[in-house]
Amino acid sequence: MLRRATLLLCLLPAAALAQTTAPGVTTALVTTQGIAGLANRAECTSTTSISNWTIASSVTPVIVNGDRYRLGAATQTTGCTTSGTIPAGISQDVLATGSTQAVNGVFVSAIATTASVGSCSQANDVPIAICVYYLPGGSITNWQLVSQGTFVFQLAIPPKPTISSVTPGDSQLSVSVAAGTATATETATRSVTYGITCTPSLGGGAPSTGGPSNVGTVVCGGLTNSTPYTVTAQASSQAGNSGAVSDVAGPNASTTPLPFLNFWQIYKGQGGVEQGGCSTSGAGALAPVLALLGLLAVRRRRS
Amino acid sequence: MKKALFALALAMALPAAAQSPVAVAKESPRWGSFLISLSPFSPDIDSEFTNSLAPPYVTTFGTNRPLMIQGIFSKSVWITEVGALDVGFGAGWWQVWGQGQYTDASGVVQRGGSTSLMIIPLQIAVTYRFDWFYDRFEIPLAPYLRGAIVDYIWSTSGQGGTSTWNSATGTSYRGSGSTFGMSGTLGLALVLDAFDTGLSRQMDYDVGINRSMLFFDVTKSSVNDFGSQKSWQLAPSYWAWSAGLMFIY
Repeated sequence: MLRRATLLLCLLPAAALAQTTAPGVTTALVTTQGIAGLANRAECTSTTSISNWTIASSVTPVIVNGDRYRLGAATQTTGCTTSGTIPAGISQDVLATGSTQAVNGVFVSAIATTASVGSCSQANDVPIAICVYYLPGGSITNWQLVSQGTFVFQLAIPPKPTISSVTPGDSQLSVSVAAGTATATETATRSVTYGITCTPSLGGGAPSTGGPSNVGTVVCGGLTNSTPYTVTAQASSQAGNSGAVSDVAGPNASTTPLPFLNFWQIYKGQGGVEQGGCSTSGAGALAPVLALLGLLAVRRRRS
Repeated sequence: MKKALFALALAMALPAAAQSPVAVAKESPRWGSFLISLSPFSPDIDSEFTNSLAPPYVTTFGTNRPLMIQGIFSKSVWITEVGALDVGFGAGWWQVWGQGQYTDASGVVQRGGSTSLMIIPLQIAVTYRFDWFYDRFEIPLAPYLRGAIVDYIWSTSGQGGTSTWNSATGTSYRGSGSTFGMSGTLGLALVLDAFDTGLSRQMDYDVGINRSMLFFDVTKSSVNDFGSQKSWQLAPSYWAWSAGLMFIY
């Protein structure tokens, strides 16, 4: 048992090294959302959503020979094909011009279809493999896999959030948002951002928005004082899937911004004698003395 | 298998033993002391408003006493068989948060908007600590007295940063400044070295700390620019207790 464990420990570094010697890494940027390596539900179903790829090939193509690259996709379970018949591409084969090359305008829906993602409204995320095949002279008989990457169809939506409390401020509302309980088609574990919408309850004004923010309190600013608002919150996943809108909070006193006085204004408004600024008596002269002595103590200690 | 485990444990222990030989040398020379303390704090700003039904501080921040953290770094200027006289410089931090208020035309008060008061307490302190009980009789107690000149640098803030208030005459008052005062402290320190003299010697050998103490003290202070009529009272109205750790090095 001990020998086996020792052997395993010895092999671990070799495995890590092996990963670094794999073919080059292929990265993606979905242009519609700008989230690298992720596609959301809308992009999955869209017929116009495209992705841009940067491939890093493990071979250097010979341009004059008419070498080509083919971008393919596969489920993560099966992985990229390495032998036999070359799989169909997710876009037209491109002329290979270098070991690093951009391939733009690849339809996201084509990737989903080729990688057998299935339903774009399922609750699960679907990671897939992106495969880059090298076709020497454009031939499909002597091809080889030269790079692969991963791509995730983030299809689950975040749950409906709950508005815990609303604190009014001067021309703003601070809204505490809590994550909701996930249903079968949602997930509560994903990193989400919250956006809030504050709408004048009496009409006559455009809604204001706050966020997105991944913290519990989101501020809705630029509001009109003394106007009651209704407040709703909505969560969005990292890829941009929006969940259900929360229950409405307000209109009530908590959702009505007012020109609140702060502590100093309350103090002075009641006739407080403090003037602010540096010491109002001769004691102000002590400030530099205190600072000097502090500095001296530190310098003396260092020396 | 057992032998292998024993060898492993020995191998892990050896470097530590090499770095920390058992200290047998006598105590290192003393230079000064450092202490860090925590104290529940609440300024007596409302002392100006004894007739008010809604004095500003308690109305805004309530009656809680958030903790003030302070540290004092001192040089021993006079060390005798009885004790040590330390002169030091201290600094700290304290902040309280509350809600502002709005009074409508009918007189109804509503609360909202965050507001805060922050204080950075600075001080020059002179401390006399009686080490005699422990040095002479090994009673692990060291009473001390401390007097200090303090300067509280303070700032109030509202939703838009540092507060300002405009009077009816148009004068603008910025809600930040500094206020001077003084304080007196009575304290008692428990000498922790008495409970593990070996560890105490090791600490002196490794990092030069001669003595570690757990202390508790009470402080009475006045921070209103020495009685100025244009200054508020930033000291507590009560004898404020604090507790912390003191290191003699």
